[in-house]
Amino acid sequence: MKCPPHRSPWLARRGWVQAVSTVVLNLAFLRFLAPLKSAGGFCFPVLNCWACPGAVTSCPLGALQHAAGEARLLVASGTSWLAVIPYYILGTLFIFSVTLGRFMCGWLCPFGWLQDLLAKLSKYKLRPPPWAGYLRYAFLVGLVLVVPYYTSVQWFSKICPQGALQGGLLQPLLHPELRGGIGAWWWFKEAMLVAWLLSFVFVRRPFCRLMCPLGAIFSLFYGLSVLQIRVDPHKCVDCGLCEQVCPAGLNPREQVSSHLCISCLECQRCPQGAIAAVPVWRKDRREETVGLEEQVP
Amino acid sequence: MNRVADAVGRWAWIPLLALSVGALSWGLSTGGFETVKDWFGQLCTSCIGLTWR
Ligand code: SF4
Ligand code: SF4
Ligand code: SF4
Repeated sequence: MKCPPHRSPWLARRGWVQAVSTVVLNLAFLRFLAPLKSAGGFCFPVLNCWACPGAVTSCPLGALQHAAGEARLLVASGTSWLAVIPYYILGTLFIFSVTLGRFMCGWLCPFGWLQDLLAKLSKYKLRPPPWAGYLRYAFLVGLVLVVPYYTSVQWFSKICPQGALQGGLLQPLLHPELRGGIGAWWWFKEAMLVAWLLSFVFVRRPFCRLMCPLGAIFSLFYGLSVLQIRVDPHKCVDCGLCEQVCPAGLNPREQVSSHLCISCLECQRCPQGAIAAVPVWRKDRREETVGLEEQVP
Repeated sequence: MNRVADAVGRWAWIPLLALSVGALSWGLSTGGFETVKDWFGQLCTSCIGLTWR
């Protein structure tokens, strides 16, 4: 079926919004903006690696792993549990989770954008089993919290493909003095990056779906965050178009606003107008779902 | 009971947001920003995959 155009100019420009977000988050590549790099305490919850020479915001996953590693040492030295909780990082993460939620993934995350771009290269797509989405929670608990807590080593960062791309490739490229540190682990990490990049062509948003702990944190709030997307079953004629356009490989009729939905709003192309974004306080009033034209200026 | 669950679903974001803002303010006032800045003050060899240091 031919894909109808978006009914809102804003929705049609999602790719541009993702591009602008990627540029803004990496503005320190511009020489005159390089001092922004020194403001490294500002966490912005998308997957943009602080090790990137241009990054101006720090990755909350890296910060959480550091906090977990330090927590064990502090508790061992007598600090109370309440005092070692990383309130600043959690507060930032939860504010974005409750307000924008996975809109961060659909519209602002540079690594999500990369997956969307490479997905355009092939029409043939593999579909991971639905249970695979739960692996993300295992990565969150295991490699971001528990293992760093016991080892004080940032194990998620060690295997993170965004780190391999933005830090692993760009840092030694721009700073030759770092090349001496390249060893077996670097090669392993870059090989994993190549495997991920290939998977982006044949699976829709595989990293978001299988591994990303940040997406998993947003997903924990999926039924509660302010922005919700709803299908009106009375309007749907089961044409399947929404399933065809969903960049996360979901069936929006059943999975819109599920924990795997990245709130990209692509499914709002529905020719029947059956899918609409609604504020959470109106989420079950399907007959009254706010039309797209009213939602987006 | 369903009405209670429905109301919680619709309005839970308000107390959650208030708690999150509270946590962020507390974190900022207790030096959370500077702590994160210190952690990221040097190149992260885990992210880059380098084996020394
Ligand atoms: S789930 Fe995907 S889009 Fe969301 S933060 Fe992770 S990598 Fe980015
Ligand atoms: S929601 Fe819209 S696009 Fe999806 S199957 Fe129903 S009518 Fe088709
Ligand atoms: S279900 Fe709709 S909003 Fe969710 S990821 Fe798919 S297209 Fe985007």
